[in-house]
Amino acid sequence: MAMDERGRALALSFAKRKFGEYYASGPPRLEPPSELIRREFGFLFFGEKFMLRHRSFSSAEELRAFLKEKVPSDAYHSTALYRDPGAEMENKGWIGADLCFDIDADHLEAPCKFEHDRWSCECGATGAGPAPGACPKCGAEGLKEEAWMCESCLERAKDELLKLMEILCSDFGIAYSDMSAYFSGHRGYHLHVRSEAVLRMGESERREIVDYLTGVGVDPSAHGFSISSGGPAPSPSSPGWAGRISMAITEILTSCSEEELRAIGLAPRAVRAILGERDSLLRDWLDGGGWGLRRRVGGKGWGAILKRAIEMASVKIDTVVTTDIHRLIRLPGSLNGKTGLVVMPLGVDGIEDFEPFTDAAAFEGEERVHVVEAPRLKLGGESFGPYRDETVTLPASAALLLICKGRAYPAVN
Amino acid sequence: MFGKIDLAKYPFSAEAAEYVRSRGLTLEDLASQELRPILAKAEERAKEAILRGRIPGWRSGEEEIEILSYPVAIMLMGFVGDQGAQRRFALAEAKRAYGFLREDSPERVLRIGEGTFGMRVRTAGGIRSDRGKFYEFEVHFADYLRDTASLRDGKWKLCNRALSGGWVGLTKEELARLLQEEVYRRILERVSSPPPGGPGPFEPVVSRLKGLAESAMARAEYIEAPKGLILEAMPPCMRSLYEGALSGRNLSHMGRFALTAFLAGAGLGEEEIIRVFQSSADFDGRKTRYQVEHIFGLRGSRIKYKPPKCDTMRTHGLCPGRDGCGGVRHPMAYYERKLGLRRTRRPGGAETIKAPPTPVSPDGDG
Repeated sequence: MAMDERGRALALSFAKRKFGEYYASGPPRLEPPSELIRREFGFLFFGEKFMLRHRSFSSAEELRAFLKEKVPSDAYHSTALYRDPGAEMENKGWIGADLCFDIDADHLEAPCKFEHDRWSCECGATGAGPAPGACPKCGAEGLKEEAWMCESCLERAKDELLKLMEILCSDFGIAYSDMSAYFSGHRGYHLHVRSEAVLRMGESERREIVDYLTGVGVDPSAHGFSISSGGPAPSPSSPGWAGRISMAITEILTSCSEEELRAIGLAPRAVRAILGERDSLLRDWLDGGGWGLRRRVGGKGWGAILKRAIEMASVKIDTVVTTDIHRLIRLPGSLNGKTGLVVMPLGVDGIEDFEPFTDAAAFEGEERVHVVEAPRLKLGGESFGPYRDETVTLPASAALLLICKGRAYPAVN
Repeated sequence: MFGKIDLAKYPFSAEAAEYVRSRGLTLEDLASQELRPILAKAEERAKEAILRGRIPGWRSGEEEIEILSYPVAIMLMGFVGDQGAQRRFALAEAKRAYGFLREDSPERVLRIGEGTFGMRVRTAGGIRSDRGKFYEFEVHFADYLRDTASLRDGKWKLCNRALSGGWVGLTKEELARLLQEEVYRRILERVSSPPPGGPGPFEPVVSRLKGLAESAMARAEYIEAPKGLILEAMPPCMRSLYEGALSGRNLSHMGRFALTAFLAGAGLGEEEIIRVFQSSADFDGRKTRYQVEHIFGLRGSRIKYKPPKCDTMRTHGLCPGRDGCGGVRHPMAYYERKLGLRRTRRPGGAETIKAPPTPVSPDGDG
């Protein structure tokens, strides 16, 4: 069900008014980046298609004043530092860049996608979940996807964020005090690493870090996991990938169901062996060098287990964000134009308990809106919707979320 | 710790540089008759590097000449200017250094890493790797990556190393290999900015070397890719993107960039490329034209982009298979090889395929 012209205009002016209120209030959560005068800024505006880029500011006050006056729908700053950030790209003079990571629920396998994501085809067919390769009705490819967000998607993204931070700390020796984590305001989390150690790294070095984290090119035999020779398997407490693979295999042995073992690609005989001798295989894995498991599942099964273990131990990040050294990233404490939620700075200790829809809400009070269509929405323990073509009163942030997503417009009367 | 023989082995070291400084020689001195052997040795260094990719040894007792000829050879190569020849020279010197370092004591290798190149490196006290290797050293991952990002062998991939607390375990030989990269980069840096004022009295030597470089490097000729696209010759990654685009699949930004740059490299015109994207569901004529023109270098930075290399394709999940391409590192190279474009052999060097003459931006940001 689509929104008409008038609804869209109402929604736009409402969103712009609320964003204006936010920036006029001198939001305490707004966090201008370090070395602000060396950064490029970019902005999107309501109802405009193109981004304003190559802006620079001489102080945090000037940036705040700009936000208050121009009310952008989205605000970004460069991860890079430049000698002349306001110049055209080729004359900026790249000095270095923060190491940034983007974890997006889009990249995670989340079963709840089938509850709240949907796709549609030009022929009129629609369905739940991520779009299939081709329309089941007319066979057309390139279906339109509409992604929604929910607490459980974001909870998974948060787990990935914590995993990422743990690896950066234990493997790369990056101190937690050099990491800043943010809720993106939509479907994920950002992590900025600011440290001399990474500042001047070029794209190929960053790509190696990405490959390390995502497990691209990991050769298990380089870490001591070969089927025949190569000695006992590394223990879960070994450093780096050796320990992580070992840990994942421990997990597979401990908790995988018959179905999951089959999904790994194990033959029925190997699945039966694991299910039947779970305890002794596990003991052998942790204390006895892991020969038992290797013998039980055979070369092919062992390969499948390793593949799954690497997959489990890898971090699902958006690779381009980390390798691109000229990238713009959302300004912490600004509002995300897709949701009206705050791009929220999270202290290291605050990540675990962070609740996106409550803690990143920018507004208090209630608003009356007409919802065209929206799936169920959970906010601060309360549940709203699903709605279809109805006028309801919602907490202001929920109302703004639906309006920014193009699912509702302010009720008039 | 550094005797004369060590200084001769490692003329790039901080210690050798200090020694050269202490001799207080001027350029005029070097051009003089008494110091003739130094200049002659420097020319030999450069010549052998260009022609045979190696640096000749020295006779016992001639360490002094060996040490002093190194900075002179760098100066000469700076004036020669030919980048291909400079790279060959830097590589030959770097390989020579590696040969000595791998045989040397751990203390000296460590000292050169730290003192000359400022690497964060330390002794590891024999941590045992899971492959049964003993790591004598640990190097900080940032230094490790700077030196290995261009090394191809899978064993250098960071994800196949024991990494803990920011430190990567290394054997002595591996640290020596990293230092080879450091030497290579340091020399390239130095030859790229020759002293101001031109070669002066060294003009005859420089022009001899220039002639040598020209004839050695000229053997690699440009090959223009033919017009029109030969589907059968496309690498699997590009073939899949290409067919995806034609069948209306939405490509990622990286995928679109890679395909556009590849097609441009294969000789297709802008209009032909825009047509390829027309069937995709999110086709936006204006935006596509903008992007294509940008990649063609008609907009923005006026730099024509090259498609990403295999490593980058792999990182972004655009490489369909790991080992299916016969060891090429670049999709364009695959295409050219399949088309049977002639491979050219540089004297003593690796086989190379000349890419179409496109200047390449340092960042692949389309």
